[in-house]
Amino acid sequence: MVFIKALTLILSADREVIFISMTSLSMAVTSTIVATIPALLLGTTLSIKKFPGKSIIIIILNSLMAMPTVVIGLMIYSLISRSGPLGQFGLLFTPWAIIIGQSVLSFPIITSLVYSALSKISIELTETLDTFETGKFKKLYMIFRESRIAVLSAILSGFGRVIGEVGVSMMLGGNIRWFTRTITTTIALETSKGEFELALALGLILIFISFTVNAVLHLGVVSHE
Amino acid sequence: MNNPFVTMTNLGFSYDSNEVLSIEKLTIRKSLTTVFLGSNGSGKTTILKILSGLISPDRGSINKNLLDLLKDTVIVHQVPYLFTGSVKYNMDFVLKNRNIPAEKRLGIIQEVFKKLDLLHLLQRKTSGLSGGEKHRLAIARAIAVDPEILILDEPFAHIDTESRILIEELICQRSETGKTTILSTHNISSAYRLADKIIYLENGKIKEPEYNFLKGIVSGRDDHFCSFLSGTSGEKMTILAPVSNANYKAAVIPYSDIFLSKDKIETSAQNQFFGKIIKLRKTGSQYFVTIDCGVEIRAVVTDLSVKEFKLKENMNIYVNFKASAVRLY
Repeated sequence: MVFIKALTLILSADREVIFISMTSLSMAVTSTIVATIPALLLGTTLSIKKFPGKSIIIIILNSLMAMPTVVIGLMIYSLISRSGPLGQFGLLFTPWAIIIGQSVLSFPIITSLVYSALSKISIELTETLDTFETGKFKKLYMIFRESRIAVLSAILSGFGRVIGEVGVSMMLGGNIRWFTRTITTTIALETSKGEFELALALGLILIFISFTVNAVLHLGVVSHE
Repeated sequence: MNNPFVTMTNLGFSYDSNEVLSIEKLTIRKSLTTVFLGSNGSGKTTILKILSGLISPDRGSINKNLLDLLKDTVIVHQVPYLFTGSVKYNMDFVLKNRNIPAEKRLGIIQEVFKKLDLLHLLQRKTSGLSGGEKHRLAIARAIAVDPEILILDEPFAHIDTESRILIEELICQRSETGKTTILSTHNISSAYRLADKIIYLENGKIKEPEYNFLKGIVSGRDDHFCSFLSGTSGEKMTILAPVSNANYKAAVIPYSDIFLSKDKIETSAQNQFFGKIIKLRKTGSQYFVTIDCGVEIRAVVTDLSVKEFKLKENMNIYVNFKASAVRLY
């Protein structure tokens, strides 16, 4: 019965279901893009350059991958709350706060996985590019091209982490209806109220998003290999 | 003799703390095919990577000519890396890098592919190629840019006889057009057929050869023996050797199968040449004797023989060896 009601909510294009889903999706996509840019730069630098302190950075990144979302939420909360150093910008309990938190959450994951992917690039690839006098930027492009599945997987892992998190969204977004309420905060709220229809509908949408993203990766990239 | 254009001295290279290469002097000559012959772990790949400029030696000096020529050097790895995508993409990529205009590229690709029997693979994806096809494609990719120096690391590993013959022909064609090819192999037959010069490597060091390596052609034959004319220019000597086909390019005679005599002697050995000792060098309890018989022949003799025969430089001597001691390649 609950399942049918949940399906009805989805099929009837319930306004709140659509709003919550779009809020979740837009914030997850934005935060993934924001995190991906510096993560690609740092991941690439770590994989191709030798410099002092590199091992420490890798250890920190690996540790941050397992950081609980509520701890990240708490740290950013202390920065953007009214009494914090960035309090003047009024970011707390806005979508921007969630985007900042989710970016911080996905950054170490994407960086670490990009580093790992590029480190596995065979020396024969770089030597082949060198022997054919490939320019610096073209060489970088080819390295990404040849490891694109692993790099895309890294980005999607970051996306997967943020679309499914609760702690950051709850602490920094405040779960404000029609403003910062996301799929996961709604599920937590509705479940605590004992009302499962909306929670289940949003859960199904979350599964659908995850399935679609992976299908696009597989059909768009892997099958073209 | 062609001018040396790569000279390396006191060369050393280590992986971690293990020295894998230690070479006192190495000279590579222009327009020749030089082959590094040695077993696995002898340092062949390392020396090729140094020659191609991909790695720098830990110690030693390299002449400046090499650094200039590195700009036109291409190496093909033992396990070549092919870019993801089509065979044509791989070819286009390297030709574009050399600024070859699009209208010329297809012609170059077709010409090279014809030589290596790859035309039917042009639109295929590299992921679907067999090991031999991948190897031939990697070589085709390198040949297409027509480098001054082509370096091939174990080009005959993991390929069938047909592919080996095609690659050997291609290397010969490069040699005929005055291009330099440097390759490593542990395939002795291919090494002797292709090489103008052979460098033996063992545990990272250049090893003293144990064989006379003579380039030449079969000049006449009957059912069992041939005359092998050595020395493609200048002085020549004709060696009698047992044969099974007519396409020999090199003769190999172990130093230890050569015996010296002061006078012409009655012997069953079919090959007897008159010459002059031009070099006598002691190594341990043995002497390496180099004799000029028109072509230089080297023999190894004991201390005792040197004393008894009073061997010395500029002394006239007869070089004798059996036809069966000659291996033709």
